[in-house]
Amino acid sequence: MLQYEFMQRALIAGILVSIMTSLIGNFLVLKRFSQIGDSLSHTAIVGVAAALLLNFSPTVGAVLATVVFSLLLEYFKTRFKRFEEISLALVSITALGIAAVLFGVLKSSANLMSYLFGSIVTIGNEDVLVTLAIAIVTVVFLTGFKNQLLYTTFDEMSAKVSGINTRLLDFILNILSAVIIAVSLKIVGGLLISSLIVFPTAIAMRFSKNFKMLQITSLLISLISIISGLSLSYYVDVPPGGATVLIFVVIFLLYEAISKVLKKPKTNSK
Amino acid sequence: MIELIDVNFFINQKQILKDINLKIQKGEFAAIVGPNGSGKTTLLNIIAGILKPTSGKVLIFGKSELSAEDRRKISYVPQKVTSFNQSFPMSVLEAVLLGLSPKKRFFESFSEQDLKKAVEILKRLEIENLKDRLIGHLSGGQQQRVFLARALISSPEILILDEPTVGIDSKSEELLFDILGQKKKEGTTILMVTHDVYAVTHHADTIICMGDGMIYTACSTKDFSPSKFESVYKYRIKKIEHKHSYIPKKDLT
Repeated sequence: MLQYEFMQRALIAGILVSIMTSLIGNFLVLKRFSQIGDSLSHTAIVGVAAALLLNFSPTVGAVLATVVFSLLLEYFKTRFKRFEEISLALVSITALGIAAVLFGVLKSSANLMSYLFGSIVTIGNEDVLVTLAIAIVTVVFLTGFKNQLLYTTFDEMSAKVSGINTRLLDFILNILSAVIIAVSLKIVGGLLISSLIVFPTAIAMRFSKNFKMLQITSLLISLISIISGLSLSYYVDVPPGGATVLIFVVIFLLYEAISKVLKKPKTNSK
Repeated sequence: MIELIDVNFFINQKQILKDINLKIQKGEFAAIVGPNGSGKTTLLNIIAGILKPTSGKVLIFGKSELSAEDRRKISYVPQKVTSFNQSFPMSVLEAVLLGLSPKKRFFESFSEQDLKKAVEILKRLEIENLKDRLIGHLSGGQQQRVFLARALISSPEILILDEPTVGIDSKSEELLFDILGQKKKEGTTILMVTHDVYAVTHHADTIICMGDGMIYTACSTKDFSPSKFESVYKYRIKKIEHKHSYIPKKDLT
């Protein structure tokens, strides 16, 4: 399959997407904010629909929409302190409402379907370059501020007292999540992008003994899943997003089964 | 070091703190006591910069607006139960090193010296053997020691503790006050909210007794007498002749 240029592009973009989503997913899941993927992906679909309607780049539309809605999310978060899931639900519902209206106005939804479930044939050189640029920004930010982000994620109040600008870090994390989701749409699709954010961390959390181990294993799980998902998509001709999610589910179930078999009798180790 | 001038704090028209005036000197160990709902934690959060007063002034290091650099001189030990996700995949050593992260620059990772310091503090707190364990797998007392280690690793000038003795055994409590005593001697200003009146009469310099959002009395432990607490706790306090300590006891007679 690697003799085809579209597959080369899909694999490169897929690997970049899996690096970004697994790294940011570590922080979002541990902050109990994993649903942000779902909410912002709905807003990305609004951007794509609007772009198709107004005839400009759907990727640009998705980026603009997710960034605008992530700012709205920040606003809602200040209005519903301690109930952040309400702000996610509000953004999600608002976006779905707008998307439903735009779907009705759009005459053909064929192109839109590839943004909902992902498509390996539609990824162009420009998409790969944009994904590479965002991946570099993501890795630089998340690696450069790793310790401060980890402190904020683990114990926001103590981090704030000791001089870490937790609000700014959260804000950047949200904007970055929005942009990552927007550029990942073509590979995994808007409806399934949150699986790339949640699954690797959720599986790695089951056995990781420290944060470093979590980062490495979740990245490996993400890479294995997306490469397998794209290969499956090529050979069986199914959407890559759905195939990747199924691989995640298989890994998760395999881990659960193996750990059950290997599990020693419980002792009170405290 | 810490000064509050006419501080008031409201939440939705309800006054939580009323005309708080307070001065804590460098190297002083001040304990805030009082019944539930008296405003202790709110006062602590205002001093820590987590909450902003509705009116009045809070001066830390003589400044009302602290820079990030000033804030790095402050460490906070939260109430374990409210601040911590028990399934967080983090080792004890990683959790302690977090205390140094506010001082780290962009891309700066922890040095060998940082690791050595973390291990030394864990040794001092008698939990060095747990350094590679998941923090969520420790007992309440052990977790409390990890939080203290995290606060101490940055050698703070001000150490703020929110009910650090809740749910810990007497050995852990003894160790906690032993270390706080040592930090006080080194010049660290300590501010602690607690219900443990017994302990603070032994270890703190000043007892600030709060009730109904006000400071009822602030006195040195030398001048402390049970009667000063009675109006706040709204029951009679008995002096128990044991290790020269006072324990508030509800008078049932």
